[in-house]
Order: sequence, then structure tokens, then C-alpha cells
Amino acid sequence: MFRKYKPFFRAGAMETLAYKFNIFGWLIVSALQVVCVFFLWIGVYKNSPDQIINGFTLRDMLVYTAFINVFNFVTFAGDTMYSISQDIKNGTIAMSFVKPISYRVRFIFTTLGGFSMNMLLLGLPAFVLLYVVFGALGYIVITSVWMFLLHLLLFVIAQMFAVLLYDCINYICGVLCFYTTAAWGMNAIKDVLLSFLGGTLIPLSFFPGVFKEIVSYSPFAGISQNPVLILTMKMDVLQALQCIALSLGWLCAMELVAWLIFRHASKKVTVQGG
Amino acid sequence: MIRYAKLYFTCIKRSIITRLEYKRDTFISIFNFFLTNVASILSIWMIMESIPSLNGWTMAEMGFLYGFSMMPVALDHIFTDDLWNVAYWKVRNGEMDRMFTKPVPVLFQVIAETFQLEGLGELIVGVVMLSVCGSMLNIVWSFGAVFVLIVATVFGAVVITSFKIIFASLAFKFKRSGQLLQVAYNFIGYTRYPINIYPKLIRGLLTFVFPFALIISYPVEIFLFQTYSPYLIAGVIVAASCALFAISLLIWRALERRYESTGS
Repeated sequence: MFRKYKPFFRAGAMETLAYKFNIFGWLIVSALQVVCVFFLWIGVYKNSPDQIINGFTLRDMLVYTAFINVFNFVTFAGDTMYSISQDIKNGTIAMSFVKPISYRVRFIFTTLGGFSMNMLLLGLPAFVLLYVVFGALGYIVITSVWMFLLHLLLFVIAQMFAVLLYDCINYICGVLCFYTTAAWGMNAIKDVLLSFLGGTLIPLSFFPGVFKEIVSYSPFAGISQNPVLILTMKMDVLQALQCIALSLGWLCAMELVAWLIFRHASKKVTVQGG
Repeated sequence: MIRYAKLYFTCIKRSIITRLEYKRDTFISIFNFFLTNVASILSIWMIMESIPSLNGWTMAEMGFLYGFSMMPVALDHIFTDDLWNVAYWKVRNGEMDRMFTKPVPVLFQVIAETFQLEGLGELIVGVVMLSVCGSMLNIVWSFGAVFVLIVATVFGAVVITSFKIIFASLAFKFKRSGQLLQVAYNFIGYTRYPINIYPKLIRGLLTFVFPFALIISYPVEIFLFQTYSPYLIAGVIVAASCALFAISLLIWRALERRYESTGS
């Protein structure tokens, strides 16, 4: 059933490989930001009367900051939104209405291809390096190997859902480009919302009162924060399973929304040239 | 001189009219910059909620610092945004060709290319944060203080622009320098927090290499703690920005000659 989409998977992977120097550029840019945030947290904990702020010790926070920056880059693979907006701009979108493949599924496979390559080139080496460094410093403590492996497995599942959720949001934003040409602005707004409500700027447990509940049940938490919390074993198995179930629920809901929006949008498509 | 002023206003008018053709798009972009800042400010607020103060800084003071840092950033953003495009793709795509055929300096054309309305969003955030946090802190808007604010805004923008010129001109040599520019530019982010949280090495870096602390952190301390003499700081800012600007023009002129069209 999905065999005809294999070329798209490979194309996504090859494209990421072709632009692998992006990863080095990103490493420098984001290492500097991580250093800044490290010093901010060190300052914060120095000024705090408690050792633990909202469930995080300083060590937890540094581990969290390092991991979430790496895995955000890995998760945010694929440029579904950009591709759709380009398809609309130069008119190739018309072709997708006649091809015997699903426009949506095609993008899922391209994104998964890019994600696999990102994982191989950056995710896996960074994971090993960070775990060894933080483990040696005593910032991460592995009590039992079996628990560690179980968490690793749960992380892989949660991470898969994170990529699918991200791609779905990307797809929805892309389809919204049928209505506006402000692809750059929309993309930037999406990035801000993801980093703020996903827990990249600050862990979601810092949100006040009822907002904390709301954001931790939003799909954004499943994209950035939850996989990292599972990987660094800040979540127990039960919580992890709940998070994965939540992501699954959101994924179904959002794919439905995406389908509905696409159905509506494709009726009023105005192609600019092509 | 008058010819250039006229030329500049013609270009700017064209840029604004083009943007207003797509009102909704422009609005979305401005809203994005507004949202980005709201998210950062809320994050700082949530961090500050969990501790009494950050090395002696309260939330209101942090907010004032944030607003102050927005001012030169916004000014630079409004007037020189096209330098990003030069660094990222205009050299690489050969789009600079047409600029080299005109009897006006290329750098002038780049600067005159855009009047970035998004920067106004940042300017508004800056002014709002300065006035709200300023009134919470009972800031004394003395002559010296206002003088420093204006100098830091205008000449601070010159400092930022100089860095953008230096790193964008590297694109003439390497075809693409966007990410290098991003690295330098991101050091501005460091000044959104009190610089006493950083070790000496980073403080020195922010004062002497990427002097963004000079245009943001030290002037703010004049407002909040009366640490330095306003006129001394203003003098240093003016001197540093003029020197940097001169250096950046020299680098641009030297590297501009290396431009070769990439075809297409």
C-alpha cells in the first residue's frame, strides 16, 4: 500500500544528506544560544532559595536544555510547508490533483526520510555524546539498565509521534498558504508558537496555574518537551505512556483537520502563474 | 548629497508601497515579531516569578533592559534589513548583478532596498516596555538619561549595522555568509539578561569584540543604578560606533571588488 511512496522517503533522506553542512552551521549558531541559556539558568539557581524549581534541579535543567535543542533540530525535519507554498506559487500544485498518490502521504514519507537522516547524522551521535558527558559528570544517573532501555524504546515511539505531529502542523500551515501568500511570516509564527508552547524556551512546568495544565495537554508538548523528558528519564513509564497516547489522539484529530482544510482550500485554489 | 537623499526616499517609498500591496501579509509579519517578543518576555517573567531576583535585578528592571535592547535592534531592522538577503542568497543567486550596473554605490542600493515595517513592531515593544517598566521603577528621565537613550538607540543601531555590513560582505568572498552573520547577531541576545550572570570571558567578549553590552547593558545601568557617567558612556558609544562603521565600509569596499556573478 505504501510501497509507491518509497521514492519520497529516499528523496527526503538524500536531500537532508545533500544539505548536511546545514547541520554544522546550526551547531555553531545554537551552541552559542545554549551557552547563553546555561549561564542564565546557573544565575537563576544561584539566586533561588530552593535547590529545585518547578521540579528541575540545576543539573536537570542543563541536561534538559542541551537535549531539547538537539532533538528540536532533529524533529523539525522536512520542509512540507515551504514545499506546499512553492507548489502554490509556481502552479505545480495542479499536478498533485491528477497524480494517483496522496498529497498528504507523500509529504509524510519525505519528512520521515529527512528525519531518519537527521537522526543518523546528528541525533544518534549527539545522544551518545551528551549521555556519556552528562553521565560522567553525574548529571544523569542510570539506576537500572532495563529501565534505561525501556525509556529508550518509549522515547523512540514518542519521537516518531513528535515528527508526525510536527509534519501535520507544517502541512496545515502550508495548506493555509492557499489563502495567504505570507508563507515566511506564517512559518515564523509557527516556529515561535512551537518553541514557546512546546517547552523549548522554558519547561512547561514554569507556566502559571491553569496555563500549565492547558499547555501540557496541547499537541505542542508532545513535539518538543515530552520526548526529551522521557529520554532523560524525568518521566516514569506510566506518564510516558500517557504522553504517547495523548500525542496519538492529537495526531488523529489534527490529520482530520488537515484533511478538512485541504478539501475546502483545494476548491478555491488560485494559482499564480505556472 | 541631495541627490542621494532624493534617491533614497524614492526607493523607500517604492518599498513601502510594494509592501502595502499585500496588507494581510505585512500584518502577519508584523504580528510575528510582536509574538516573538511577547514569548520571550513571558519566558523571562516566568523565570523571574520563581526567584526573588536575578543577581539583584527584579522583573521590572529586566523588562526595562529588554525594552532598551529592542531600540537599536528595531532601528537597524527597519533600515538595513536587506543585508540579510545579501548574506544568505543575493550573492549566491547572482541577484547583485543589477546593482553593480548602476552608477550608485552598491551598499547604498542595498540599504535603500527595503524599509522593513516589521521593525516598527519591535520599536513599539521597546517603547511600551521602557515606559511601563520605567514608570514601575520610578525612573528619573533626566537630560543625561534621555541623551544616553537616544545616543544608544541611534549609534547602537550603527554598531549593529556595521556588524551586518562586515559579515554580509564576506558573502562576496564565500558566496554565502548568512549563518556567520547569524552567529554574530545572536550575541545581541546575550544582552537581554544582566551581564553580571556571565563569566569574565563572555563579558569581555561582549564589551570589546561584539560590543553589544556597550550599547545596551552599560547604558541601562545608568538608568537603574547610576553606575557610570552618562556622558562618558555616550562618548564611548559614539566613538566605537564611528570606528566600527568606518572599518565595516573599508571591508565592504575591499570585498565588493571580488564579486563575480554566479550566473543563472
